[in-house]
Amino acid sequence: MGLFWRRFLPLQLWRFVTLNIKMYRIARGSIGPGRRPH
Amino acid sequence: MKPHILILGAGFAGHTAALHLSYLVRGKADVTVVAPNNRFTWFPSLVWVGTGTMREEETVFALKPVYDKIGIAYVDARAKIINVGTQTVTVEDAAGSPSDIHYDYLVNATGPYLNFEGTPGLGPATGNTTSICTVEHAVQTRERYLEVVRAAQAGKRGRIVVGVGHPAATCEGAAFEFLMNVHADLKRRRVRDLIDLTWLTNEPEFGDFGVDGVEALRGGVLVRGASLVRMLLDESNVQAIAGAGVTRVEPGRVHYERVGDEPGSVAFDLAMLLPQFRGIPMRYIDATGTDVTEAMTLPSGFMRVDANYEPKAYEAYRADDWPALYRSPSYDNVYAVGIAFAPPHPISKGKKTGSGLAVVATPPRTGMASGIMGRTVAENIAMQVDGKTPDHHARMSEMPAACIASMGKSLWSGSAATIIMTPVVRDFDRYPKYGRDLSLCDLDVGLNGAWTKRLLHSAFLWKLQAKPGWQLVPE
Repeated sequence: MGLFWRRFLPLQLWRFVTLNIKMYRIARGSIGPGRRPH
Repeated sequence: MKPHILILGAGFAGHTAALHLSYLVRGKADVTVVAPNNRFTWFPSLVWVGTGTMREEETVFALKPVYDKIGIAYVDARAKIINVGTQTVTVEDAAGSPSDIHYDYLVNATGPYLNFEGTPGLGPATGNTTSICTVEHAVQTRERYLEVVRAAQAGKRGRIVVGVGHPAATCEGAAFEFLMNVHADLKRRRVRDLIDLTWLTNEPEFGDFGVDGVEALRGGVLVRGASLVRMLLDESNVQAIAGAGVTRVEPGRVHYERVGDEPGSVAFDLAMLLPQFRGIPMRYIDATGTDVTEAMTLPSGFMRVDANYEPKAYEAYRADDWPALYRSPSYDNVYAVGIAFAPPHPISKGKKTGSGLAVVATPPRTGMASGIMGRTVAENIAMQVDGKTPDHHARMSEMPAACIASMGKSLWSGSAATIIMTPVVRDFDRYPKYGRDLSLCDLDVGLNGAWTKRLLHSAFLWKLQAKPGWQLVPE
């Protein structure tokens, strides 16, 4: 991964926020198959 | 008298089950955890301990104060014999004194036995290699690593081999993380040019990680983990060998057989090779005293649960072969979670070398998967305590997994690969094209991953110590 993409802070911040929201929602089961009875 | 729930092991699965049982059965059942050393280890950060970029104290905490706080009994001992007839577990404390503990519900979360003996010459105790499977191993790896670094700083060339040390090993992702952290650390210390770095893995192709690879859509374009890992290996100037089953390790040289190629060997000054995982050696007996270990476990030592263990071709494997409840088919009050349960089959396709040696990356059961299993079993036992039929299920073929593979710890110049896959085990009946829901998969490499890795380190150590609001952090 090039220096530009690794250090381009606005993109990194955007990816940090969106990926963490995605992981949190998947882990909580609010998107995806979830772990609850279904 | 209240029912007694006994949890063997306090890793990701056992400790998570204990945390959730602390409120799910409060006042209705007693809970006891049996685990040695009074210590929880946050394994994902041991890659940093191994390169000397994190102190070992930052990766562990004492279990007893946490259990005292949430009303759970703790016994510092190891389980030796499970009597499934009398519902008793014989445990042995650090001094070797045995005692019996009765249970009404049992959770086997004993984790892996590190099978260094499975490969001649492997391992930190009697062999020629190091590991990062425990805090002590990671500290030993760090000392050996820093010796190689000091020699390089004095101008001497060095050779480091990182990978797995058995044809049927697992956790290639953790070894890959260590490799990339070594690369980043050597660069930081300005000696990368003096060290030859080799990646030695049993995966059929790079980026397989024992889960048959990962892929995601980025801007409508399919990105494969294999391409990403190959790019990272090339960019880091690492000599990479896939499909390799390590057969023996001599001082300074590791020998392997390779799928589709001649056997080979690599010289090293430091080799960090993960061992094969097996089930913790325990005996199972029934009420008459008859040894039923063979009926309760697979030859690997892992415990049989509600999975389909019928042998069949790789192409015939189905998503519903994987266990849903993690419950023994013979005893409905006995569960096995995390690494302790026996997977029904590999997720990644194994291959044979010219001599017939099977090389297969066996299924990883990461912290997230183990945590989800631990919680699911806690919920099901709570239902049984209430007299209900358990119906929470968490097949690995319906379970998501997120993995953050560190490639340098720094919050400014570090990096990490963020991998999200749903489900872990491909389900071609549900998702015919790729076996996974690509809208719930992701692949990314960058500084943001280094931030996420640090965030997870702090958030999970908060959660696992049952600090205020811990339930807000999902498994």
